[in-house]
Amino acid sequence: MAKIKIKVKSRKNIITVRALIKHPMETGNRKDKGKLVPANHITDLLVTKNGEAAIKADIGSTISTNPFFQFKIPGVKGDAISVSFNDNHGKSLSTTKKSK
Amino acid sequence: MKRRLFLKGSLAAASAAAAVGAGLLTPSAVFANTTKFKNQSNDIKKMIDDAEDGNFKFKAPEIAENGSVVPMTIDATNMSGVASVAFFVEKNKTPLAAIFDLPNANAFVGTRIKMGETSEVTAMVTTTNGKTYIKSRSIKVTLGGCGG
Repeated sequence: MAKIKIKVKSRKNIITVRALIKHPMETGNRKDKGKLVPANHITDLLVTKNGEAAIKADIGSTISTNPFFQFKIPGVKGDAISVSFNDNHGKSLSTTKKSK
Repeated sequence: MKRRLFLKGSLAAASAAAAVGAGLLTPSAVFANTTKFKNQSNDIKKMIDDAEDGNFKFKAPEIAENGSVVPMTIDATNMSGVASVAFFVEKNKTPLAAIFDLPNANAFVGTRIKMGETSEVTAMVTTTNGKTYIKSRSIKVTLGGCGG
């Protein structure tokens, strides 16, 4: 269901990370045919560079469906960038990609 | 044998899904935001109340046609010692949208946020020496994104 797509590109010793996560991000406030749709959203996100934490984020259901994130991390070509997340159902997923 | 196991597994999954749908599972799994996140949201609201105006870039549209996808960017690369950045939508049920700790990254974060209605949006930047800076902007929403 969920899927992470990332693009990493280094330029002038800065790696631009763009991540698109496929996730419904239900707030738990929305109603479908009179019934509340249960919440299903990402709670935290971790971006690492070569295994070292670069960005840690706490995320609420306010982030839009199929969330998109853009970060800049100092680094050079060949650094391994990994993006992973946990959602409120305890599911997690991670993707690693080497910078271009 | 394998087929039987598979059937059992899928049955269990289906019943679990039904339980979630009927609201039988633990409330924390069904509730909108975790209590931890709500507390964090309240803490940040206090921080924003006595924060100074910051000198960083906060990019967001003035009018958002679709409230369910409002792109915004915080660019505080001109500031030194940035510890975290956060997005705060005042009129949403849980105002804090997301907070990003940046132990090893440049102070640049872009994302997309849902907005229920026209509201003041605040970008917050905290530095490693404990200071908080904010920049606010009102964003007009013509179509709500949180299901009315």
